Amino acid sequence: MIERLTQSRIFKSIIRSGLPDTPLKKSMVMFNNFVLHIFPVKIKRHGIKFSFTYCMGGISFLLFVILTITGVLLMFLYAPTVERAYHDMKFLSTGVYNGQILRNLHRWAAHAMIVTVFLHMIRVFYTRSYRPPREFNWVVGVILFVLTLALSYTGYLLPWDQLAYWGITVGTTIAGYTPLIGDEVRFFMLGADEVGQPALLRFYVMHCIVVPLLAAGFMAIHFWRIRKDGGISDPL
Amino acid sequence: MAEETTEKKEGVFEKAPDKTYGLMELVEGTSPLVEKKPEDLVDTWPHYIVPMTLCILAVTLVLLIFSWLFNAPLEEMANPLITPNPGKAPWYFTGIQELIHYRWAPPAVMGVIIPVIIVIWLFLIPYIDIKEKRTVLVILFILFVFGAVLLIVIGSLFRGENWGFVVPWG
Repeated sequence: MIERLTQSRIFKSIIRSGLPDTPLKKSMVMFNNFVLHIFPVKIKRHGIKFSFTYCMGGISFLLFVILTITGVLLMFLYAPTVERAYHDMKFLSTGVYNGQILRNLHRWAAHAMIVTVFLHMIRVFYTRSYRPPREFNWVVGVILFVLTLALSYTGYLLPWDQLAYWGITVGTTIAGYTPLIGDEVRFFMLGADEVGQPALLRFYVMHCIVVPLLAAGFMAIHFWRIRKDGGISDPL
Repeated sequence: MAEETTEKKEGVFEKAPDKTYGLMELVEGTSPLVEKKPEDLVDTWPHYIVPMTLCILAVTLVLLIFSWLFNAPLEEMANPLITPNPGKAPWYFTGIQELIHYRWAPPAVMGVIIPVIIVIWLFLIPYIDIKEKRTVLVILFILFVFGAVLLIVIGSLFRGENWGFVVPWG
C-alpha cells in the first residue's frame, strides 16, 4: 500500500526522490527538498553531537519561526492605537478562542529567544567557532543578537499596559542619556517627547515589519555563510 | 587512514592490447577528498534530520505546556499620571538600569557608552583573539557573561521602591 502510494505519479511529482532507502536517495532527499537543501547532504559527525552545540542556534531560529507565526496571528487581533491596544489585549483573553495561549506563546517564546541567542553566542565563543574563515559570521551573529533585543524591546510597548508604558519610558530615558544627540535619539524612538500614540505606531511598525525583515535578512546571510565556510566548525 | 576507508579493486579491467590507455582500477570510497584526511561524515538524512525533528517537537511542546500553565503579564492600562515605583525596563535591560544606579560615572557613560563599547568589543572578538592574549579575552568574556547575568538578576528581582534592595521572597 505504502509502496503503491510512493510509486504513484502524484506522489513522485511532489516528493521527487521517493523513500530514502539507498545512499543515493538519502542524498537526493536532502538535495531536492526546498527546506532541507540548506543542509549539506553529509554532515560532520561531531557537529550533530548535542554537547557540541546544545542546539542553541537551531532553537533560536525555531523560536523565531514560532514568533513569526504567532505574531502574524496576533496582528489580526490588534490595532496599534492608544484607544484600542489595551482593550484588544483584554479581548484576547476573554473573547478570542485560544487567544490567551496565543499571546502567551508569543511572549514566552520572545523571552526564551533572548536566552537561547545569548547561550548560542557563549557556545560559539567557547568552541572558538569564529576562527578563520568564520570571523565575519560571528559579526553577523552579534548583529542578530542586537536585533533580537530590538525585536523584544519594540514588542514590549504594544500591550499598552503600565508595564509596557513605564518599561519603554525607562528604556528611552536611558537612550536619551546618549551624549550630544540624546534628545534626538529619544525623539526618533518616540516620535514625541513622551510615550504616546506616535511611539506606539513607531514601535508597532518596527516590531512587525522593519526589525523582523532585517533579522530575516541577516539570518539568511548567517546560515548561508555557515555552508560557504565549510559547514559547522571543527572541534578545538 | 585512507587505506582503511577505500578498497582497491584490481584486475577488474583487462588492458586492451591495441590501446595505449585503459581503466586501471576502481577505488571505492565515500569521500571525494584528495590528499586530505577523510572527514568523519554521516548522512544528514536520517542522522541529523531525525534528532532535529524530535528537538523541534520537544521545544514546541515545552513552550506550549509553559504557555498553558503561565499567563503573560498584563497590568492596568497605561496611565502617564500613575508612575510605578520603581519603574523597570524589560528584564534584559535592568542590568543597564542597575549599572546606572551605582553612579560611578554619569548616566551617559553607564547607560549608553559602556553598553555600546561592550557591543563593539563583541564585534571585534574574532579579530583580537591572538594566541598569546587569549587568556585575557576569555577572562573578559567570563566577566561579561557573569556580570550581565548578575546585574540583570539584581536589577530584576532584588530592587524595590526607590531602587532600594529587597529580597524577592520577602
